[in-house]
Amino acid sequence: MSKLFVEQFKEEIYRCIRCGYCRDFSRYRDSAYKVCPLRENDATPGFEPYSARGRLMLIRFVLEGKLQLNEKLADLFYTCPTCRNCWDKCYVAQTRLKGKNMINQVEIYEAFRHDLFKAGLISPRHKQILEWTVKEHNPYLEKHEDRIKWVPAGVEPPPTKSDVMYFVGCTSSYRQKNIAAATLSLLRKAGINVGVLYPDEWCCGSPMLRIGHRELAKELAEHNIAALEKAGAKMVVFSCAGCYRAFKVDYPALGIEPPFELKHAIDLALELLDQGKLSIKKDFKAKVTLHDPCHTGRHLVHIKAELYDQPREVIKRIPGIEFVEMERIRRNSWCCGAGGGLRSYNADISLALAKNRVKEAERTGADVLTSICPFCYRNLSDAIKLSGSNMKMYDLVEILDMVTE
Amino acid sequence: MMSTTSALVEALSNIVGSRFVSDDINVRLAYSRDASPEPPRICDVVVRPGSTEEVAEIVKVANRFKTPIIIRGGGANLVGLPPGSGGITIDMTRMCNIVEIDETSMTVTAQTGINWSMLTYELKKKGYRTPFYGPFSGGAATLGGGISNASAGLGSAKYGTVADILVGLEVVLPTGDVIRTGSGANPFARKFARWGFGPDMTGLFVGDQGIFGVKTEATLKIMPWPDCWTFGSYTFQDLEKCCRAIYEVQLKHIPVNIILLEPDFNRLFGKAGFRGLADVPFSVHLHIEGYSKDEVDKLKAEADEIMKKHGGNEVPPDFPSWNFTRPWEWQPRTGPLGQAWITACYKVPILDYPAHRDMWYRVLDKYKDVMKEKKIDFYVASLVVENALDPMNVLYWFDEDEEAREWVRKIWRDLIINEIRNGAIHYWLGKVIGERVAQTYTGTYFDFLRTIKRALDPNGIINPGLLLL
Repeated sequence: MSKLFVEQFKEEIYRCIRCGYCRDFSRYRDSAYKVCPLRENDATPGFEPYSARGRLMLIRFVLEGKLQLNEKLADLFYTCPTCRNCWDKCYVAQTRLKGKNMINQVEIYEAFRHDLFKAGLISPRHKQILEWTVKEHNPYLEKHEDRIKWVPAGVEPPPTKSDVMYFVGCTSSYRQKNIAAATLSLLRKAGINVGVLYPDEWCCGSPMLRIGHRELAKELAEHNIAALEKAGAKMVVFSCAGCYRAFKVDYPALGIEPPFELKHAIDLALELLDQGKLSIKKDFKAKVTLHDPCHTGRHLVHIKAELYDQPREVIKRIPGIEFVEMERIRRNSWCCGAGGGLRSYNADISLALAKNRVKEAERTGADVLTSICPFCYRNLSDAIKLSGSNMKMYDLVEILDMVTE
Repeated sequence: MMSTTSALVEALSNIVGSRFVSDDINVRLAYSRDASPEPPRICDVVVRPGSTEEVAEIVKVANRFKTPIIIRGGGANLVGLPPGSGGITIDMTRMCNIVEIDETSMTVTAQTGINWSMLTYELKKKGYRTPFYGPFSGGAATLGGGISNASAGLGSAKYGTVADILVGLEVVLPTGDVIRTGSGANPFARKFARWGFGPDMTGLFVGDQGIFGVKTEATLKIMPWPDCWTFGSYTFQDLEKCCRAIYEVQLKHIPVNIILLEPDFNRLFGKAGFRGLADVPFSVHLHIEGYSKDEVDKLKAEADEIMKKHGGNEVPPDFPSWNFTRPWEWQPRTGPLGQAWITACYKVPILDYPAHRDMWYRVLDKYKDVMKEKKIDFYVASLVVENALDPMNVLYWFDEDEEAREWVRKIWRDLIINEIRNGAIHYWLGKVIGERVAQTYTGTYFDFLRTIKRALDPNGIINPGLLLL
């Protein structure tokens, strides 16, 4: 067998002491109840390989030549939203050595997924997504020419060049168009002549990395960076947690440092409120709870770029909102199940996770669930429908757009 | 014709549903090791039951197929899985619910697949805690695992071990019959009392390594969550005096937790910024709790006096205030350079500890060259379990170095034999320590255990080979 990509993590893999805290460890001091969402309420069969200890052990067996790559192994590895809670609650991972966390579970899984991809062990659905993305630059099996159709009728299309560029992302371009429209509207209210890359915005590459096609992810990253440079961007704004994380963390890991300021829309909105460039003029009368996306949280904490305070501060400033927190928030936020390629790999499991999160939101008594990610929005709103919940889902940018003038 | 494994999978699927049964090699390999450096033990099938009834039926199937059952809780054992290969691994962690918090009886009944941190989390919501609140591995270790290993750990200085807070059990016997011990045996009674009607059947299953049956529910004492606490840290130059101070504090039952750190750990924590520890040989850390500030202040003053009388120098309580407000988050379970670890927790009388400890260094002296060559380190921290000191004598090595791992297994076994011969009482035994205990103990004790095992488990189904039974 040729050398596996995951071998570069060998030292980290052998650091796992199999203590098992990556499964159901609970910490009352900060309401961290359990760790792996795949084990909650039988969302999966919950065997050892569904959580980090089992996964790392299996990779170790592979590295030692005692286990060959196989389809069932691939299934176990793709059945994971890579929410990074196992990393967050792992004592070893949270110990730093030479300026680096001792184990980086999700990076290891994704390196191993790269090996599985190279071995041809990806699902037909993921194969289709990759092929489509090469052709049409999005994983939603949509035409590239339709990418700009999120701009509502009667709204002036954004320019294609500006010093502030909005990277819309595939989910908001093709599915949660409401979030893209609200982001554009909000930024315009603040007097920002925000541009959008068209026709040059391609998928950020995040789904490709999650599936394991690193080369395609790199190609997409290089394209997007070049296009944004050409558009004259000094700042790039995101409403998608996944795209934001890709630019902040994944691009540098691929050797591409974005030469712009990167801002999540909610972070920018807070600054605009502080500067008086945005003013809240209306109430939003509702009992609201907030879901922290993994990609703006645990995936950014190691570079100290997590967005936990910003959405809460925005919510606090909106009159009429009665804000209630869920039991598991911030670094302990329970994954909605959409990420890591899980939604496209196994929608049933992905939605089972989302239903668990919706149940947790319902326990607060809130009637509105909000977040700052279109992909979380998509999975949670689907789970709301499927579970017959009365909750309403809004992206926080949408709420802010409703109350500002 | 259907293979035995396929027939077994079908029989188990009929009980728990096919979703919770797997004979996939990937799954079986992932269950093949605990947290010890022991080689893998690969079972035939893994099953995750959701109820006592399902466990009982699984045990009956195992008897029918004459195939062993390996009971698995949190998989956090450091002592090796039962010897042999094949059989059914029962992963108990789906059975992780609290059955009842009975405030009248001041007890909690929970399924045994719940881990200690989950149990504490749930109890805290109601303002309670178990007095002993779990082994240091309790972020994964289950209630069932803790009972089967007679665990000590958090709360042990004041409240003893899990045995001391256990009121009763529900156990699936190796035949598949289900019994309740303690007052739970009386169908008309609350589960509130362990003693009072015949022998202590609960005790039979405490520290049994699971060989006498599958524990499915446990009833434990609870107490109101102590809302006042304080900490104390003291450094000592002399171990004898240090142990005398601990002994006297224990005579008065003052702290709920005590940890003794030895030079290497002191240096490590000192380097990490814990004040006063960097260059001291021994440090003692107290966690005192109560229900009023006056109460804990008074207890702290008493402890201060005793510690200082024996030469203790008070330093800022950085270590205990970090460690005991984060139960289960620290144990010496990974080396400062990311090494793997192994230890053997056991009990020795507090005042015997200094002489006992010398034995390790005599043993390790034989291995000093190889330890240096293979970068094997030895660190020591101890907790206090009522009248005993419970040392965690830790061997660290780089696990990717297979030769180092093999040397560690050898050194560890040598230490264990010498510990037993020097009066140590090990409580988590598993394969490695269990074998050595069974080989070293003399007299009729193990004959008696064997008689009970044969009576309860005529087919030798449950955790066979542990304790050489």
